[in-house]
Amino acid sequence: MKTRSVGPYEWEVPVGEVRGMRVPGRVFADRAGIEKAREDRALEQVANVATLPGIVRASYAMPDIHWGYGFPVGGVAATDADAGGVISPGGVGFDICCGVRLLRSDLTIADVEDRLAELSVQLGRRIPRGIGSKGLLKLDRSELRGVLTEGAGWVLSRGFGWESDLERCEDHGRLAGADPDAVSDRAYERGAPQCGSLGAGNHFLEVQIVDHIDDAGAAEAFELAVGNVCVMIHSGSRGVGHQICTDELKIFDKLMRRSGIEVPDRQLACGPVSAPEAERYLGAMAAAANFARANRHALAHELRETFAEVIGRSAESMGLRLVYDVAHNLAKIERYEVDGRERDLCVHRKGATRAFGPGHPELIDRYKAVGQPVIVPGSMGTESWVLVGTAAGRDKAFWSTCHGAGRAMSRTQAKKRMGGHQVRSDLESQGILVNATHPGLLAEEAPYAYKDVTSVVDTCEGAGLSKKVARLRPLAVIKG
Amino acid sequence: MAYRIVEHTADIGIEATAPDIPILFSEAVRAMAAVVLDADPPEAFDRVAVAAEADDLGALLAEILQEALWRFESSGWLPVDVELEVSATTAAGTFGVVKDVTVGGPAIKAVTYHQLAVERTPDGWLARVFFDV
Repeated sequence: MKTRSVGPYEWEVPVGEVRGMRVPGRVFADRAGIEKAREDRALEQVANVATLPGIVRASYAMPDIHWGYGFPVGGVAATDADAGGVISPGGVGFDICCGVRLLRSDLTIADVEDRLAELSVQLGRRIPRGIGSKGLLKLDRSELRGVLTEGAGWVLSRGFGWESDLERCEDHGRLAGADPDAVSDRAYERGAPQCGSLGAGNHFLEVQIVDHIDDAGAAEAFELAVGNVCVMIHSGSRGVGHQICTDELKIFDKLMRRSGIEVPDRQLACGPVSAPEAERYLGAMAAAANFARANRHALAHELRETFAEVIGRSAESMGLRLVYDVAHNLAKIERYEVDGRERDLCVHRKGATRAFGPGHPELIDRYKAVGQPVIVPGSMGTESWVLVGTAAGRDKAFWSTCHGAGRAMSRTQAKKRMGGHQVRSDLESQGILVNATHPGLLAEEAPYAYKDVTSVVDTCEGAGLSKKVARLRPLAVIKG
Repeated sequence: MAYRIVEHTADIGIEATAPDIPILFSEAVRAMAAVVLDADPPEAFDRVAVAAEADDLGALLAEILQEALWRFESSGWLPVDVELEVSATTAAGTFGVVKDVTVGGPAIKAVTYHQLAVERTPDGWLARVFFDV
């Protein structure tokens, strides 16, 4: 796959590298990153996405790009909804609205160090996690309908969480346009027992401490200062999202053939945004997104309760407030000027985070002057980052940036390198407490299986996609 | 007949080979169970009915594997093989299932259509499926 450098940390995959490309590929990466993407077939996937009907400007990839299914992980594609542009359920993925929620506190290391082990044990006990785990909320069908429609606000209305949480969530915790009637019975069945559960795999809850500030102005707006204890949650829409994507993939596979659309990989199944099937998918996808927001909201409530019990003070008195809750697997209709004309674009972000720059009208007053917070989890045991959107981000890649470190090694390779018990002991020797459901998971998720997250966020900054605000160091990891 | 696990940076895949389609589908189910268990699956303890339909053999195999995942998630019974009557677009028969297994591998979220293949080879048939984990 040919590439050419087109700017600092920017590479172009020219039209023609894959038959049917309508726009070039544009990858934000350093030299090592572009070579890694070439090796693991992710570049081919960038080129494949460039064949989608109605795609505008380019098929983008963020610096944490790696081989995915259909779309590369780290892929961003915008299609012109009014000019035959398509939506692809595979461009959102199975874990619809998987994302990250960060809470900050006034607690310092002195407040928690004696109780960190107890905190890790109690969080592990109270936060439902792992394969087959049941959620904090047991919902009947009508209650689940409420969650699918109202998102985090539904959980709040049942007395969990704080009113102030909602304004610090993307879309205020509720994606408009959800259609609970577009959700299959099996998705209801899978979701009913799972609201308020972490899941497994790379999902986690982590107690962290702010150890470095890069942008004092943004950090102040985000209420982050060196020494603050924080908690990060990484989870998604659980079985609801998995089932909706599974259901819709079959529908779009047929729609695509009926519409005469050809794509290089069947997982890129897609159909015109104007088709009734697309309207139905957007309604189901928004319902799954609302489930994901409600899920993270319920988990945040439980962690506040756990902190209060272990530390012996109320969560309010600790200032355990939300910084932000943001998705990294979602498609949204957003308005941009392209070729001198305002257009409604369907922006797919698959393993990429929306990153509005300063002044964006959708930002709340607290964040309007500085830009939207972006939460970037590192790999297990390594630092995580809080970034902020930039003014240049709109034209760079439709207000998008990275979503994590990005995997660099398969699970089998990672397990061959070191066993789970060794990974745990290595992390504990660095002073990081680890609470995992089984050691095999630790081996699969070992830090060396991922790229260096700091290099990824530096590349994002170098490319103008986002700016670094604060670095978070892990104290205790609770894995699914 | 045989199966193997296919490496993928973030997810995981399987390839199965067999002389005919029913055995191919059974090997694919066995391969998926091997991913879940991170070990060769045990022999089936019981049998439960399964049926599926799709537009082609690739989608039909994906459907059977999705049914196997759902069986495991909803009941705790893990399908380790399948005995099927298969036409071009329908399949019906029984899963061989086991219970009380130790899950040693990654949690499979879903069956993808990425590079999905059921194709003839000089020796019989080959199937390739990637899972989202």
